[in-house]
Amino acid sequence: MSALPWILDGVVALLLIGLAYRLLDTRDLFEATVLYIAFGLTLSLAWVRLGAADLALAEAALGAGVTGALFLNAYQRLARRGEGRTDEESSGLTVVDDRVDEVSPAAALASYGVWGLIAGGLAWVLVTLPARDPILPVLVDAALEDAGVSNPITAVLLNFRAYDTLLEIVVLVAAMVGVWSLDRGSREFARNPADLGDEPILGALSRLVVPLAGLTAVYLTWTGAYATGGAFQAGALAAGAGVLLVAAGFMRPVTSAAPFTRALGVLALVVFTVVGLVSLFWTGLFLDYPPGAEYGLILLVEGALTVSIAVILVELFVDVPAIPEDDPGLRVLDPTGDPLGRVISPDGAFIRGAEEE
Amino acid sequence: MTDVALWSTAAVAGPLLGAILTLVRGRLFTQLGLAVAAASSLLAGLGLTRIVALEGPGRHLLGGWGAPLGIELLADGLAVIMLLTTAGVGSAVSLYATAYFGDVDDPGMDVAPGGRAARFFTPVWLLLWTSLNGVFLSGDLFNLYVNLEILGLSAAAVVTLAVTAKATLAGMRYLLVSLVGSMLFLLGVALLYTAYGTLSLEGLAAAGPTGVVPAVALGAMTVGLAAKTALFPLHAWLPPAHSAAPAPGSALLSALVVKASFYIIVRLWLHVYGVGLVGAGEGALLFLGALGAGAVVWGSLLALRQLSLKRLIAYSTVAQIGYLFIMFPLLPEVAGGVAQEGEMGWRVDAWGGGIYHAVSHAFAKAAMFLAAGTMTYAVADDSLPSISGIAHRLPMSFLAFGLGGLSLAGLPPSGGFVAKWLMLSAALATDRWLWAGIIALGGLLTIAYVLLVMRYALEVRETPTAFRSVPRRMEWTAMALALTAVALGFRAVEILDLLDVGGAAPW
Repeated sequence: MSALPWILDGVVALLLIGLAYRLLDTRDLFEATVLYIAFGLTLSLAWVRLGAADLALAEAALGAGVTGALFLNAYQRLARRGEGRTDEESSGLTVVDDRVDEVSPAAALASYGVWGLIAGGLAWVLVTLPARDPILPVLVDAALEDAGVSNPITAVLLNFRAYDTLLEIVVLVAAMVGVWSLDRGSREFARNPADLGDEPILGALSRLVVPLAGLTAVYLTWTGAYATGGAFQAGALAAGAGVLLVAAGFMRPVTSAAPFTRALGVLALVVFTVVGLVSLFWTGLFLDYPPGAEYGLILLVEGALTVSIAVILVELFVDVPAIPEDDPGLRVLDPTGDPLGRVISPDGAFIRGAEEE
Repeated sequence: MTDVALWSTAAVAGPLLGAILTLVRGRLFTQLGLAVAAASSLLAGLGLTRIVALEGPGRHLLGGWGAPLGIELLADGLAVIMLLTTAGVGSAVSLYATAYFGDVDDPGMDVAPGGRAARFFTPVWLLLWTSLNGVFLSGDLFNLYVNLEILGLSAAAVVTLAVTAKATLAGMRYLLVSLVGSMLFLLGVALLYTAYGTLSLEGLAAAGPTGVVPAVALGAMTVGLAAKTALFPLHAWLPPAHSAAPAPGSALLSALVVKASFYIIVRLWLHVYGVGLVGAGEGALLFLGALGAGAVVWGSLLALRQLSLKRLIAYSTVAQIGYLFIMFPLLPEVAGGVAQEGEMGWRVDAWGGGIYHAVSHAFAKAAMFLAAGTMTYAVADDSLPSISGIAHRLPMSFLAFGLGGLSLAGLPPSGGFVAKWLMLSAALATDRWLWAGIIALGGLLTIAYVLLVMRYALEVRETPTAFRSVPRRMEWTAMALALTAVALGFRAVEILDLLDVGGAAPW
């Protein structure tokens, strides 16, 4: 047996641990964000090595891609708030916490000890987990014939456990509505489309990448029925294209929660629920697709999911809510209030105790 | 199509469709969405109750697969009681909210500071309602996790609807606590799935989880859920979050949201693991009870120290959550031979008392938060001195607050009295005087902080300087909830009989 796979796995594993340590150790938010994206990409390599291509795709697109873009977006907003400030603390771009330095070595050792014990215990539990013959994969294979699709992962997500997937899109809608509810009406955009002439590479790249990403998203949705792919990966990819369009200034969302955005955002929810209800009245059970119609209905739901996921993720990117302005009530420290004794100052930085005001 | 399938679908899909309708916007669709959600939840609760009472527990094989391949919805006595509680409290709070947030068609809403809150309260709350009903009916561990995610996101959004930096900070911290709790829950789910190859609650119960891995899994899930329930000493996020939210939101969070994670703890400890089956079961139950006792004392003492009305009620929630956990050490199997054969009397008591407390606290606390919201709405201030003499201007809200407090303190006749009576008798029947003492002490402290509010409200002086007139609907919805909390004291037998379907015994 060649040693190459072992070396490769070892490098990926060490890289993961190293990146995780650096990520937790750094106090610079920008560095942390970049490390986070690198960590996500390395993790998706690990999934590839474990033979979980679907997970690798999802991790790369959602874990590293979309989440990383959201972090960069948040960083940019913080940077804009901090403009003109020389004080590092009030800019919010660097984690400044004196208490970290005040910790005595003994306390630090005790803390490491406790967490080490917890981590070690968990690792021990994982290692000693009884090795059992997997039951569910056998059941999935046996039921695949009646599922309407031949990709077992799509069969689980959109047929056997379709109810979970319906609720997962509710999670996304809840996140979207939550962000909308935070929007205080002030919206700002990264750049003016007219400025694009100054950046020929960005423009050319967008023209090349966006149609390709759109095409790949359609392909992934379609191929999910019988091979690696599916709505979540496709939606994330399309969202990436959308984020690029927004960041490059091609697309300019006018208001948050515009009627068109709302309609596309809840499209999957409407389609999925209606399919479930039609099944209920047809076969007697919620989401029990009528025999023969499984493939068509799953494809319909997948298509709607791709659209909604893409729209929601782009909306989360463009609609970073503003922090409320000065609240004089917060200058008074509540004696029995915040257990850490901290209040948030008007410029968003944490201040410990009223005496520092 | 069976009735179980129809009504269990309605319980989840009804609020979901309502949420979609409210996203269309406008007064018409907001009210339509609320009506769809409330009507389907009430009908689902009543329909499932009828089935459970007449035919026993019902199940709905979603997608026609059945566990372990698919997901099942399960309806037993406990589930339908929680569904009905949610439907009752939720409907009343929905009505209150339509008045509290004003007319969403008013063009001034776009510029008003609270305009966004008015617009987005309904969709956020209906998504929350979907996940509450989803939790109560779910028979699958991973499905519970997905529901918890919807619950956590929408509950945090309810807090941040209040347009203040305070609320944003409190909501953000709530979201982080909630996410850590979800992660711990998911860790337990993953361990159990690896060990037993199934996610079905019934399947796991049948496998009889014992040993180190299931114990670690239960520990992780319990810590995560306890953080979400705000069990002492993991309660610090609750008072800022529940007091900063808009009043209808505070009522929903204190009455219903913390009960959902408590409900999962009960399902896991009693139905999946079976009390005492875990190694060192008795010690673990005593530990939960001790935390509950700590919550009762600490929460009540801090409630007495508050200067703000809603914060006082929020600390009262911390205290009352403690009672839910005092139930555990009073459960039978660990009593070591005290349970007499065929003797149902005291055995049902601790279990029935705990669940009865969850239900009556939901109605009483919702009434108190709504009444407090009406008072702060009228004087535009949340501090206790500012509501001086408010009882003379808002007698009905004052009475609703008082009746809610009566039930909370466990004075007869009320739902709270039945709950505390059942728990007390369970403690006394097994000669556990310490628990009896804590239950009684908590009741006295509750009376003290309810009287503290009343002392301010009843003060005779000139009427408050700035007084805004209050829509009638805000007054009588709180009153209806308070009267329900009291009325629960008169229907204990029927409710306890319903609770026996499924019961406290392991599946």
